[in-house]
Amino acid sequence: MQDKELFYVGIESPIDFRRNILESSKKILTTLQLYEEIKKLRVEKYSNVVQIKKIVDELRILMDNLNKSFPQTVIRPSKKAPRLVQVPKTEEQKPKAQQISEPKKIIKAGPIRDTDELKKLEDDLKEIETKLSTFKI
Amino acid sequence: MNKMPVFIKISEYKQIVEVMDIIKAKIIKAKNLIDNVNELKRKEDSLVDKWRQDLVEVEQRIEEIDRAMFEPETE
Repeated sequence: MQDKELFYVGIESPIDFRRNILESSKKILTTLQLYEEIKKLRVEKYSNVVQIKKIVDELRILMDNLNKSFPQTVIRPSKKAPRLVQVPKTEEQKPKAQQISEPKKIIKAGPIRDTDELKKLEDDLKEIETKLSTFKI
Repeated sequence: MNKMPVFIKISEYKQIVEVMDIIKAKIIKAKNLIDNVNELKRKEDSLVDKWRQDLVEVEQRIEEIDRAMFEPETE
């Protein structure tokens, strides 16, 4: 039976060698610590994004309410000279002369399909773009 | 013609003004949060860069160890 040959590998600078191993281990540990910091930042970032989303949802509702508060008509600039109407004084309003254009067309909202959130947003956008396109520039 | 002002009679003027104030406050809050997100992204990118640098340093040390292991003294 052949004896196993034993090899010994000589290390030229054992101190540097050992230092390299220890420094590498230390660096790996600090890298893992960095990972924890990155994870914390991402959690905070996600939390902020969720808050932004919540605010934007609230803004959407507020804008819808605001839109409903105004008359639902399409106002087109009239080619005729505007009629001036004196608004009677109230406690809340100052008297102003009003120019009234005759509403020519009322845009009826089309049916909004019951789909997922993104599709619903696209439909709402199309509706608003349709309303906007009725204003002549 | 389009530059002629149009006045609309508003019966719930006070409520609308309040809603407008709320909308403006929420927009400011959202903008601040977005600025915060941008700052966090910047910090995250900076940390990821440092991550990469650290790994490159480890790679270099391992290469030195590798060289020391495979360029031994012979006896």
